[in-house]
Amino acid sequence: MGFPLNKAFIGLWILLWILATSGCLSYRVLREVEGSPVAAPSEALRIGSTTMQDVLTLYGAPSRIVPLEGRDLFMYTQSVYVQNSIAFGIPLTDFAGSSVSFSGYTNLTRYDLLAMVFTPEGILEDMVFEKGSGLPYLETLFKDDSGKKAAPVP
Amino acid sequence: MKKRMAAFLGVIGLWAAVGVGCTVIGKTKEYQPFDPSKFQSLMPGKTRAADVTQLFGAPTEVVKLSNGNAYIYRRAVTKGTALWLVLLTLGNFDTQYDQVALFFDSENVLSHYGVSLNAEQTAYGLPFK
Repeated sequence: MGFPLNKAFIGLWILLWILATSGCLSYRVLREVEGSPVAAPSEALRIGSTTMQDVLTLYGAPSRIVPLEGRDLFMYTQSVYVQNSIAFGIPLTDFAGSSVSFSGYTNLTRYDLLAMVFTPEGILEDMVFEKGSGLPYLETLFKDDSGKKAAPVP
Repeated sequence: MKKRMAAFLGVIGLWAAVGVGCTVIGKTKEYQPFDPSKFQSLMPGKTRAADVTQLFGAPTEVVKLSNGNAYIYRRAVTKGTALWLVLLTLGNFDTQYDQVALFFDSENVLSHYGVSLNAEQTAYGLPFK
């Protein structure tokens, strides 16, 4: 008959333990999205014939307009930033003279980007599309290709 | 009686677990007072840069292009949601823009323009998608 009460007490003690240590251990997930989703290049876009007006009609105002040397660049972008962090600490300074603490975090920003270069006459000359938000989180985060050198230009 | 006590303690425990959490929602606006209904009056080939500034005020940004200028009007809305649970903190920020890009030729006559109105799609939410 005493079983449910014991179970409740155990549950209560677990909750009390969680509450008491909640200042010591924390896990945080943060996500920041900037901009609207970037659509892949439409079939209607043709290098050499599509005009700036056609692009503005299809995609609206670009996120950025950059003047190049004799060319104009439209950039449609969306960025997705994700941060995961964990922190653990036990304040023992009053007893032991120092405290135990540990923390770690990962930050990853992925971009979707459609870049279009126009001639001074407003004709589409080149375009590049990158769908960064589709990349897997952990694989992208831990893939280390920062030290790789570019192939020498012959 | 003991069952009722167990249920009572369970409710207290649940309330304590949920009650220590906190939720915050916030909204930030970068305001630019352009009126989208006035875009109907823009006429490529006729409207001049001075007419545009009369209608919409000073642009947020001006870009010198290879064959003229671009006036950019931009405003942003950010919605933030944060949820603190016992051991877990969740935060989500969404920023969307209303943006208009107007292109003028070397004579300052409007050649074409593009409009993206997405600020209303800004949403509160959790950081999982």
